[in-house]
Amino acid sequence: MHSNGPFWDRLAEFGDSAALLDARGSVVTYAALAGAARKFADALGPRRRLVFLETCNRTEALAAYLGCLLGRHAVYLYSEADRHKALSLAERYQPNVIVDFAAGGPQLNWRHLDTVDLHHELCLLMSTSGSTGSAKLVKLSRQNIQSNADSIVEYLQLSGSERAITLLRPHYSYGLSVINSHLSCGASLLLTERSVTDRAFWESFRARGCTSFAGVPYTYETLARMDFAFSDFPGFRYATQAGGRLAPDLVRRFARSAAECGGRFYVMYGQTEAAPRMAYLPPKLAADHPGCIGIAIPYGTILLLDEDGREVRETDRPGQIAYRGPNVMMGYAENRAGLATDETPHVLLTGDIACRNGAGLLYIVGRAARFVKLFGARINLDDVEADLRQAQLDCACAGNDEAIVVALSNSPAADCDAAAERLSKKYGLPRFAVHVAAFDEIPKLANGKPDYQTILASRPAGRVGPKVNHGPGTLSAFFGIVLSRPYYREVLSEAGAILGVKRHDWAGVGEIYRKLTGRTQITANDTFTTLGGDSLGYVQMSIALEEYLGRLPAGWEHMTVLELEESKVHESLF
Amino acid sequence: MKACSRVSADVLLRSLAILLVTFHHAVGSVALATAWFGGGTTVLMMLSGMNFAKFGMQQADSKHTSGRLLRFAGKLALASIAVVLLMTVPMLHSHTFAVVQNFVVFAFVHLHLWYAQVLALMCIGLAILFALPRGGHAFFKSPLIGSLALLVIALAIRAVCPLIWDTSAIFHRLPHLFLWNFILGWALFFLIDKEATPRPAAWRYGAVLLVLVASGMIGWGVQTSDFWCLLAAGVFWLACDGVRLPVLPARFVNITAQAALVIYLVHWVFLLQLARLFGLAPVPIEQFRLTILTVVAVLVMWVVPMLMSIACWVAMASTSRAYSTLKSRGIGAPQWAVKAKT
Repeated sequence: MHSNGPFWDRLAEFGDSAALLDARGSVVTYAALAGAARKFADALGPRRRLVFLETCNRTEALAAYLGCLLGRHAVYLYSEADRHKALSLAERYQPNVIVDFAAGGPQLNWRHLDTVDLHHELCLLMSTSGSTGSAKLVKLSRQNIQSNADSIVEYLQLSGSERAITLLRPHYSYGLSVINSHLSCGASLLLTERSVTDRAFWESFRARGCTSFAGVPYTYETLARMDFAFSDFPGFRYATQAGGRLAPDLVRRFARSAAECGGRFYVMYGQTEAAPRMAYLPPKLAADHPGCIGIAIPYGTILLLDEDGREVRETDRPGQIAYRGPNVMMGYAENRAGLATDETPHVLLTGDIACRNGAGLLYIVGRAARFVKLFGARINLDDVEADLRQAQLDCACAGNDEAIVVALSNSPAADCDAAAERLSKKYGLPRFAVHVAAFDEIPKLANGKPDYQTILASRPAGRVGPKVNHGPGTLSAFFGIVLSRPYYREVLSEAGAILGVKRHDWAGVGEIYRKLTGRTQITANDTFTTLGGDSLGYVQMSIALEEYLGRLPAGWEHMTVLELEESKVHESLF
Repeated sequence: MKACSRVSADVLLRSLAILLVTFHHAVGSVALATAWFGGGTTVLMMLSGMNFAKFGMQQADSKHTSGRLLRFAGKLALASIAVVLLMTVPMLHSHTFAVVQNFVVFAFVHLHLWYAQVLALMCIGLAILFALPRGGHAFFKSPLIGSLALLVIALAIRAVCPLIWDTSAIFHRLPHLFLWNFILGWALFFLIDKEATPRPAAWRYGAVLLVLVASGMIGWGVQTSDFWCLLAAGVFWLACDGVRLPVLPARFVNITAQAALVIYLVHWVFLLQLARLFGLAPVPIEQFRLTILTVVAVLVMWVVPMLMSIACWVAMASTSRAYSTLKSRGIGAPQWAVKAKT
């Protein structure tokens, strides 16, 4: 955390510098903002409160947010559009107070006057994009917020002379990070609720001397259609993009456009669980590596982990992105009791699969959840979609470990059969394991993303192939294994290793856990105890680990797969 | 190549305990006097308690502990039932399925599997206790005090129950009479754990010894070999983390420790077959002391069933590990799918 404390405690230090501006020309100085925040904190009282705060890009709302931080309350941010969902969450979390701005100024609707058991570090609760409609909230600490703001200030080279326009909403972690990072370094924000398609947005940008803006892929796709150029704005210094993948040609285009006028274009990567920033692509590399998310932010580390939880160091080999840094969340809360605990994970497993290229830059190849394992082969559903799109088919692809299910938009039966045949051949799958169905339109969720659950459900239940073709894990697979020759060779090899006749070459901790527990899936965060280990299995496990690691670390039973692997690395280093 | 390997204290104790158990049974099958060699199971039960506290109660709550106890009981019961079924298919009996064989007819199939059955029943009882809203919550407020309180109650049951219900005909092999032995492991684990007992080391070591001796005296009495085995094992566990042994003995210790449960359950099968094969009958103690043949018979009855049991465990472990390996490699899928992958 910043050596002088979090930024919300230091707002007054920037005195009469402009903190917030609006399109009409009114200016709120840091001193005034600090005063308004203090006033709001006082209104909540001296006891720590759980606050549900409806936010928007208005001075009162931001002062209320800062007041919650200042008063060490825990605040959940939501937008007016999410009011219904927030009220439903309020039933579960029973906040002390719900604050909205429907009447102009802040309205404090007191709900429960009891003391909520809040962890002393907890200060912010946010929904994740993946948990829309769920009661799961990300818990963020003071350190999470401040350290991420510090990192952003450093790599974006922010100073007090910067002025960003607030295109994104504060309840969205990306939008909030723009606010936090700018207020952290004495920079200013132009508050607006307008969109980039609104001429007045850009007029304000120019007239109020803005230097930057932050957008999601949709923002830049829209700007591309508008023939937007950064050079039209003399004060422009940099723009950032996060919140999803922007097509490489657009990255290249905006990177060049920014460079032409001496500006910078940043592609960034993050998740709410990391408050939210984890990686960025240095602007000078954007034009040459437009498909990359870049490198870890200052104070953070990114590892790629394979299925066994071992670090992938080779170039262009995929692994799940695991992030470590002071901005990793305190875990999730699913109810009021969950607000009292700190379950900061050792590493944050993002669920994104990425590779490192020759220049040491990360590029995402898919989501872990978008990989299925069929008949021993790992298949990336995004690749399947790309294959079909090459054949000019509008599609979305879902799947599980039984089959791939493809939804084709407005296609005749012949196209469906041809697509199924094509995939069956390409991936070496039996025809019954590929189901292609025609839809009038690809089913979509409210956020515009394909509705993979509906697509998956379109596969007729019980549609499976002949028994012999079942994948691993079924009875036929069992006999397939125990009646195979390699099995008996493996049995002899294992027996030899147990008796000490031959050396046991363990590939990693993940392999040991998988082999001795019989589980097929072991994650980097699994421990012996979380895998249900007991005194009947611990001797085998401890001996195998000692064989692999060279020594058994104290408390190994509570160490994660990753920590055990790291202990081996440390042992070899020192 | 390394000349020595390190073996941790609890692995060594586990190995020695199971060797003692099998030796005790070997002597029992040849000579009448077995009182000198008892004590292996009491050490195993204490170690079981310690390990359960280590893996199932640290960083856990009552709900998880209750579930773990039930799963542990399930594994023991299944293994025990499987062995009994193997030997008694021609004369299936409902007692077998109820895991209460030791309650009804001790020598029903001449398989003395009481340890696994008693431990399973104890775990079920404790799981019920932890499932009670107040019981589990009170225990996890302070696992140390909870363990000590449970130990006192279990020792009281051990001391009083035989006066009310004479169970000598079934050798007292009942869960409520061995509960103290399992809970003793919990108490010792939490007493020596710095976080659970934030006291100076001397205080913690002294308390462990005191609890160990007091429990052993009440549970067994100082005139039994079980008491001295328990005490020796406890002191050894307290005194050292592990020992360095030459590679081959270390490997043997590791294997027997890993195979302890299988050796316990299976060695009787081989022991009984050997006894039938050679027509051995128990001999009076005087002859046992003097006859070399008897000594040889004891050694054979000890070593052969143990090695056969170890072979069973190695077979089970290697087949299971090989299955996991091949499963993770996708073998078992149709050949064309495997080819496509490669």
